[in-house]
Amino acid sequence: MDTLFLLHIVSNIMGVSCFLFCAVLAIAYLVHDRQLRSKHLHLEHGHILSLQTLDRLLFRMLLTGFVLLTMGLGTGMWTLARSQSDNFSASRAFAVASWCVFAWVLIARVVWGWRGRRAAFGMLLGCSGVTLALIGYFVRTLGGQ
Amino acid sequence: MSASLAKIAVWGVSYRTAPIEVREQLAISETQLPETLQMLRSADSAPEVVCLSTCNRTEIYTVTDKVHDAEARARELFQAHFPMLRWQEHVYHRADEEAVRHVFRVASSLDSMVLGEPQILGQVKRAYELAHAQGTAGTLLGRCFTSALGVGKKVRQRTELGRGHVSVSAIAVELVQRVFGDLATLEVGLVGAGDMAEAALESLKAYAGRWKVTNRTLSNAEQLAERFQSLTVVPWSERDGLMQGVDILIMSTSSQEPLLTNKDAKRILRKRRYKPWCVLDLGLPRNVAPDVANIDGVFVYNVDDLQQIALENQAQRAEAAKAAEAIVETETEAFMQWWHALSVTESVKKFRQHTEALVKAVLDTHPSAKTLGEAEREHLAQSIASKWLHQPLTSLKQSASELDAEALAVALERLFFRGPQ
Repeated sequence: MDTLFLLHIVSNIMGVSCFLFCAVLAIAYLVHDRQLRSKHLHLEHGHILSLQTLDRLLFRMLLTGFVLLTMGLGTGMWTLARSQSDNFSASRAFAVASWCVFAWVLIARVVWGWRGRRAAFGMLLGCSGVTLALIGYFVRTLGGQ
Repeated sequence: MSASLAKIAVWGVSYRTAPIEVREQLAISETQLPETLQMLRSADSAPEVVCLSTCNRTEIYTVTDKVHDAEARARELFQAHFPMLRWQEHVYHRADEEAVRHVFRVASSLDSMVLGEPQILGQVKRAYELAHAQGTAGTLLGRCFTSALGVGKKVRQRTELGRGHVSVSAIAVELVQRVFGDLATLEVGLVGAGDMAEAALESLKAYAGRWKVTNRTLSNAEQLAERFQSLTVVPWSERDGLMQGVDILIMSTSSQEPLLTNKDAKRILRKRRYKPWCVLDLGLPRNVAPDVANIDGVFVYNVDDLQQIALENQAQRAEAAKAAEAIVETETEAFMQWWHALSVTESVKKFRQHTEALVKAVLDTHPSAKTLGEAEREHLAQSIASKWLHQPLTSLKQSASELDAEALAVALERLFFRGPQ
């Protein structure tokens, strides 16, 4: 198998795993945030991750996933260019759209310090794009295209 | 003393029966406890004694067959500490099953002033360890207290009784920890230097690192800073900088208008690069505009919010107390069964020795057994007695947990040792 294509597959799988974990963290963040605002929470002695810790984890995981997704997209485009195929596919469009959303969330974080619910919703939006890209890929593969 | 006649008894005063001025006179310090235990113990009337003394209760547990003697000693001890004590009014007494249930409830924190508070289990454990070290906790109180510790742990593990804080200050700390995690590196700002600010400072100072205070009348802030070290005073005109720089803001001024509006909070949050911001509004009227709580990244809690959470947690503990009471009931029943079985143990022991002696006497006189040595005859007598008594004694012990153990012990005594009276 072509090394570039192998790199494309590995980085995409790892990137998607990171984003799935990001989605879990983002949901945990939003649930925790909602509980803290509801003021009806039953406080227990326990080791629940604080909002700040969740936020930090989310950012690190997003950064890792973003680097991997960029590698996955880059190697994918390179492979596509080499094969001189100009087929448009929905999964590619979703992957590029997700990359843009993640890039925006990261830029907003670095430049303006955006975090909290806004960042978590942005993350979930990007993760939905990645999921749709993945579904598109499987549909295309199973459809024999 | 015959186990079948022994009673577990407790005399005590607690927050339910005596005001603090009585309780503080009757409190027995840990250094006084060994002497007190020895004073209360008496070889013939109270061979076992455990003393539990906390800020909310002083209790004396004894095993006795002479209740009046034990009570006289307890009365002597209490009245030596507090001569004006109105015995009947302040001192409660429980015996047998009631006493066992009482210590189980105490260890489970069902009898505590703050339902479900965790300290009592450690205090009961310490009381038992001290009595054990002094040799005043024997079979019965030993078992009773180790069971009580087990019940306390079971209640904490299986029910929600100890979960959730019920004091406003502990709730505030917990909420802030849920936002930031470790508080040691955080900065806390106080806007206002009145009684509420001081109370908040008192509750939170052990957790957070750096503190700043500002007040319209600067001298009040300076007075507060004198009482609490590591408190930096900031002039009122620079309060915006203070608010922006701190992670936790405690507002407690008597201002009639909100000091922190939605616009201010958004501006400050932008400057903080949207880092989480916790605002505790202890002022009345409120110092923070209500819509500030809707801003992403700002967590506002006022006095009502904290009290509301405390009330909900109290209600949840009260609900959990029902499950805890059921555990106490089951364990009390199990203990009473064990105790009943114990009361026939002495009679069983005597019966076994009696049977062994009879068999041995027969063997000693039987011609064919004369060839055996003394040790062999003794061993043979024990084996025959064990085999012969195994089934009836097992049934007897089982029956003792279900039937009236004392009556069974008396029946055994009459059948084999004293004959009909």
